[in-house]
Amino acid sequence: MSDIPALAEEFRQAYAAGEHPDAAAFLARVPEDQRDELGRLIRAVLADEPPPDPAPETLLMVQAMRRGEPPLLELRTARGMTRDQVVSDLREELGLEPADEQRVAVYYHELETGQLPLAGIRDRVFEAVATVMGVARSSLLLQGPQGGGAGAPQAVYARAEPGTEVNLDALAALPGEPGAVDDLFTGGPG
Amino acid sequence: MRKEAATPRRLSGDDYDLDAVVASYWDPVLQWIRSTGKVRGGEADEVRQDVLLRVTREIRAGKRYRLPIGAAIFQITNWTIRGYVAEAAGRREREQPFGELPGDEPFDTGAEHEIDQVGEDEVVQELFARLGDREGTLMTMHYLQGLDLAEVADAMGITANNAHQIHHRAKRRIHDWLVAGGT
Repeated sequence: MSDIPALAEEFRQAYAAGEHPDAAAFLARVPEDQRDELGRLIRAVLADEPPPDPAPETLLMVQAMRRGEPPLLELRTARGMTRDQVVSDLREELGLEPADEQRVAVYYHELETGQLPLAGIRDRVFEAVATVMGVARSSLLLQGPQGGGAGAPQAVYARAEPGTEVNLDALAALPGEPGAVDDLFTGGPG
Repeated sequence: MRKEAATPRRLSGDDYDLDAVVASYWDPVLQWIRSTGKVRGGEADEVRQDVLLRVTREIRAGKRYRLPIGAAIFQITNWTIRGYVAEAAGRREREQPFGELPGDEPFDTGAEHEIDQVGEDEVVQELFARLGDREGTLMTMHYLQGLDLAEVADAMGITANNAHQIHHRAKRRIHDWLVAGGT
């Protein structure tokens, strides 16, 4: 029998300290029949505690989203990183081979310009992007096609880097192992 | 809802830094979604995006929430999760290779319609009605009619201290309903 109140208290302390505890990771620590109860206590913490001050990076990305600009591009620019650099780091972080880099680049472009449905992206990709960008996973603002910011009707952003238009059909012609990379970016949750 | 003291009860695009609000709830909303265990991975990010874009759109359009902003955001999150789960169930149903007979209607729990059709005022009124006479009346006068607690106490013929106690108790009950995932 897990000590549910103690786990909820652990979540509260981490949350109040601004450590961005992951609710799903806490749920995974208890048997399935106790998850509803722990989830309820975690939501009580979230409703009770003042929201933490947002990370500066999150605020930066939210402001970009409201302007109708790609949040991830805004963050990358603020970090002073080139797209090639991010793609290379991302490929390494995901444990993929150098031959997969072009394929990762195609998906990263889709991700950065809000054209990749978020529901299809594996957790590992979110975590890897957060690591490469130096932010907490929960602070990361990735935007999918449904979004586009309050001022923008769609999320295919005008402010993409020149020369980066991508034809997804070209993916098939790229070197590397198609299955693994495609699965990471489109394989669904989990 | 203890944060009420630090957070203005009502929010409008004019008197609030909307970006800061959305940014400050970016992580809590994701954790709220993940705590339900109903949506996973990138799906949770998609739900969060829908919630906070909706809040952004509504506030920029001049909407004023009746509930404290945190409670309003988490309530919208509950609705959005319900709609998302219903939509996913419908999608799975439609994709069943042998599950459909010609003319079958797609699975629909009605939750999506609930989100679109139920106005916030109606939901809040229903919520307050569930509180019973004294608490419901006080909350209606305070939140929906805009009276401060001293004015409410006068109108109800009770002391200000009593009004504060009833207010506190009512908020606690709403809080408990909210975290249980209901309206």
